[in-house]
This record gives sequence, structure tokens and C-alpha cells, in this order.
Amino acid sequence: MAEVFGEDIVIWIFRFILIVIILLGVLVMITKYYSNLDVRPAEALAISNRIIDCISADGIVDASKISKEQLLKCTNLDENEIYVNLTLNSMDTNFSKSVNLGADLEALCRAKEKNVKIKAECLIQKFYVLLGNEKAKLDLVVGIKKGEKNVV
Amino acid sequence: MSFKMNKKAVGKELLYFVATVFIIVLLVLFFLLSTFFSPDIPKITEISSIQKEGLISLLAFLNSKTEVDGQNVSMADIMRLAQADEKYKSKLEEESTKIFDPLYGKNVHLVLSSPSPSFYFEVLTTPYFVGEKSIINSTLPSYPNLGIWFGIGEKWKEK
Repeated sequence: MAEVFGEDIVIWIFRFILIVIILLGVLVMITKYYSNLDVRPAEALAISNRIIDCISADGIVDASKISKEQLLKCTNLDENEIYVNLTLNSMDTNFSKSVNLGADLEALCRAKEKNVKIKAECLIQKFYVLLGNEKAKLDLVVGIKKGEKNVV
Repeated sequence: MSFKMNKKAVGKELLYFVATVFIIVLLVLFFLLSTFFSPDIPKITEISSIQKEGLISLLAFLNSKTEVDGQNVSMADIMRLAQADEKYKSKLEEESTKIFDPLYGKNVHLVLSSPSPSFYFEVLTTPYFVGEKSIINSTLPSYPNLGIWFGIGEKWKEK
């Protein structure tokens, strides 16, 4: 029997085990590296940058641009998955304008701000802008659900 | 004779096997430890989100106007004048505090500097500011010598 297989059979058993161990090692490292990959923060940031560039690239805002139509024109978002809230408050007068887009995730986003673990990804930003000559504050909230599509 | 050669070959192969397993275990351990003990480096997305907020807020600040001695003067002009005049320096400090404090708490970093003539003025600084990660180095086109370093710290987000 030993003559049939020869001495190589023992060596090949070791080699086979070795290959299995190497593959397992690579698999463990890849799984560990990609296990927490979530592209939604990057997506929220891209959306936020696009909105800001669209309504105020130089820090001066035109109040007429704070509208749902303008938001849709700027971003072409899927309203079922993405939530945007844009609020402009004048610091000099009582003028205020707010616009919402998509399913309301505001409460979830505010909860997330207080370190509560939720399934949506939120980006909350505050900008100092000018509304003509008036000083104003612009609050932007971008929330993304897409739990199944964008989270690995 | 044949048996002895087999034993030798198996021994050699066993040595390779043990060495490879050892190296792989070391690599996996190193990888796991490096991810576990890695310093708290902010993500790229966080850095750029702060920069965008900073950039827009800074541009608005530069474009805004305030009254000095009965005249409306732009912040950009006040920044330039602050290099030589204490009155404009304190005006700049007052205006920036008035605007940025309600928005970002004490987490704004605003520094003006100019190599020629030599000038360095820390308008606002924050102890929470982490390194230079969110500092924007910008210059006014009309005043190329004046550098503006502006950043928003992350602490306000924890409120």
C-alpha cells in the first residue's frame, strides 16, 4: 500500500493543512476588516455638501432656494430612504423658514445625537450664513435609512 | 534506507508547517491588536464635514458687515485693519464671539497670520480643538498676505 502512495502522501497532508490554515487566516482578516463597513455617513456627507453647494456656495443664501423643489432639483433623492431637514433662522429678525424632504427621521436623528443607537444614519450640521445682509443660522439634518442596501 | 529518508522529509515539512502557522498567528495577532489599540483618529468623512461647515461659515463671516464709528465695514476689511489697529482687533474678537459662540459654543478656532508684515492674532481659540484636522487655510484675494485659519471643533456635537 505504501508503495502505491509513496512517501509524498504524508507531506501532502501537511501541505493541505497549511493551505487551509493560510486561507482561514486571510478570511479572518478580511472579515474583520469589512465587518463594520457602512457607507451611509459618506453618503450623508455627499448629500449635505451637494445641498449646501446648491443653495449657498459662498455663504450667502437666497431664501427662495429653501424649498422642496430646490432640494429635489439639487439632489434627486429617494424620499422613501432619505430624510432632509433644512431650517434657516435669521439672527437679526424673526424670519424663519424650514423645509422637509422624505420620511421624518428627525426624532431618530436627534436621538442619535445623544448617542442612542439607532438604525438610521444621521448628519447634523450648523452653518453660519448670510441672508442678504442679515446674519442667519442654517441647520441641516440628513438622515438615511437604507439599512439593508448600504450596510455590509 | 527508504524509511529514513521519509522520516527526514516529513520532519522538514513539519518544520515548515510549524513556522508558517507561527507566522500566520503572529500576523493575525498583529492585525487584531493594531485595530484594537489604534488611536482615536477621526474618520475622513468627519473631517470634511467639519471643513465644509467651517468654509461656509467663514465665507459668510467674511462677507458680513458691522458698524465701526458709524460706518458699515466688512469683516474682511476689519481683518485687514486688525493687523495695525487695536480697535479693529477688539472689534473682530467681539463680532466673532457674538456670532460663533451661540452656534458652536466655545469650539471655534480663528487665527489670522501674515508673514509680511509679520502678524499673528488668535481671535478665538478652543481647548477642545484637535490638531489641525479641521483648520482651513484661506486667504482673501484682495489681501494675499493675510492667512485665515478657521476651524470648528467637534465638542459642540456632544451637547
